[in-house]
Amino acid sequence: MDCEKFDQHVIDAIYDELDELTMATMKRHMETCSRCASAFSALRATREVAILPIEEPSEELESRILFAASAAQRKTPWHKKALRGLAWAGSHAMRPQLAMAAVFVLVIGSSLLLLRAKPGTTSIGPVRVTERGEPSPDRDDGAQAAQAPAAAPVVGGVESPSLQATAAAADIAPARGDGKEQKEEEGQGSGKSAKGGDAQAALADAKATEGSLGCDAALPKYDDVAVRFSGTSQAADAMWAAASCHKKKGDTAKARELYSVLAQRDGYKDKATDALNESAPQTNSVAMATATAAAPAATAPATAAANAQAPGGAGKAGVASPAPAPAPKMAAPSSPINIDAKSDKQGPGWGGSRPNAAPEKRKAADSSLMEGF
Amino acid sequence: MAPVREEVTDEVLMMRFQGGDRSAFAAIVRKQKTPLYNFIVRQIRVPQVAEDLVQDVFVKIVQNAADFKHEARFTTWAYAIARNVCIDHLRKMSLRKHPSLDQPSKPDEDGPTLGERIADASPGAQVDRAAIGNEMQIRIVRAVELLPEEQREVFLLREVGHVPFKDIAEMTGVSENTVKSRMRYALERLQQALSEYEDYARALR
Repeated sequence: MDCEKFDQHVIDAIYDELDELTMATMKRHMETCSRCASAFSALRATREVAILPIEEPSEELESRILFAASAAQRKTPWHKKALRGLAWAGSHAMRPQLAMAAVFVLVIGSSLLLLRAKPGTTSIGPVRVTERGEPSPDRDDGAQAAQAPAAAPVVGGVESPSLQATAAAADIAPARGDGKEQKEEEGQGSGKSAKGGDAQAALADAKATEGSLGCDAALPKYDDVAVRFSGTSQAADAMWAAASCHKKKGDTAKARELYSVLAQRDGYKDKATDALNESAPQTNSVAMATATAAAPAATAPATAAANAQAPGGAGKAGVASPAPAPAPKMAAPSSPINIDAKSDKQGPGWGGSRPNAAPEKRKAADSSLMEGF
Repeated sequence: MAPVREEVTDEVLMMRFQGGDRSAFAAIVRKQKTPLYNFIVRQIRVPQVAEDLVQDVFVKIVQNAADFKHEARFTTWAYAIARNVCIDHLRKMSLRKHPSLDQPSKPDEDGPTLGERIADASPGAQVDRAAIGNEMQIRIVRAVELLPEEQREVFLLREVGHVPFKDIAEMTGVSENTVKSRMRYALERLQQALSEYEDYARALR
């Protein structure tokens, strides 16, 4: 060790901040170097002597300090602490983990938002579907019912050789025949809601046709009025007139059918019943004949229909009949006739229910046609 | 005059205070107020002002308690605060064009002289140091006060605050070797001043 190095370490040596190895080399140097040795001893002596006297502060300083400190502690809170909190938050914000967490939260949050949007949009769907779907079963049934007679070949009433030509089927035949025309004219007339004036005009037109051209020309018009304005007094008038025409022509079956319908209306009850009784002997035989013809292949609805129709006062019996519309529907699948009547599935049903359900069915067909077109 | 010796270190007390223990802070004050006061009063020279500044230092310790890291020595941290308080005060005084405090106090100034102050403040110390006497202490104090500011600062930090040279270097922003050089110059100056007195004292005997 030379004197330069000794000077670097002498203070450390005096203040005991020197490692023992360096201290030993310094001691060795001092043994050979009187200058360094005297410097070292002088400095150490000075350090030992030059101890500052400790001056005590005044007695009240401690309490002053404590008071000021607690006051400062109470005062500091908001802005100093806010700044400190900001510094703390800042030091954390700079960390990559926080950035990762922020991205994570953002992704999760946005995906949740998107996921929630989908059920919301689909929830509107079902509501719309039910609104549209509800009336559709009625219409579908009605359309089938309306189309069935139109599509069916005109069955020649009682004298039809087919086994399915039951008494009821015989009854329906003319109605089917009319069905085509009704349907065609229905297309033009449908959609009109104001019936009163039109009904009156149509009835007058039909009566005028009867007056000038006779029953054959007028019958379709009467039927049209009866169907289009069913339930009104004009329709009843038209039916009455049509029945009279049928009677004139000698078609008592059709006349009776109309009379039996009219017998259920208040205004025509007595007249219709009288008319039915008047024509009873003739038609009874026909009905009997058909009933017997149908007997071998008899089914529940068919006989029920025949029974219902058989009594002279068919009007009231029809009303009281226990199996109107639902009966044929339930019986139809199990019925063997149904297999034969493939071309006209509704045939037996219609036939069976015809005498009793005629007004309702007509109404249903009417309303369904109105809607269909 | 002997500083209260407690087994609990300043760092532990500071940790307790950070946890909300006010009695720990009181213990720190009891322990550190006198050394800090001496550190300040040797630079400022006016006891009343020095006490105010000691109070300021402790207020700053409270306000910045959260900043104290336990890797550091408490005394190093506290003396850094005290040093800044002194520098701020001296700057203010120089701006107000007060008589420079770097100048040695003049005998014709108003107020108590250094000798009077020491005699008044610590009569017990006088008795304890009977061998060297009051005169010697006055001499030491004056010699320290006469040191250039840089040297005095290092001397006081090391002798009064027991701050290691490494920490002083960090605190003052100079190299450790520079700090040691300043310390050596300070000691040599004091040695010179005291030897004059020793010669004088020996001559009196």
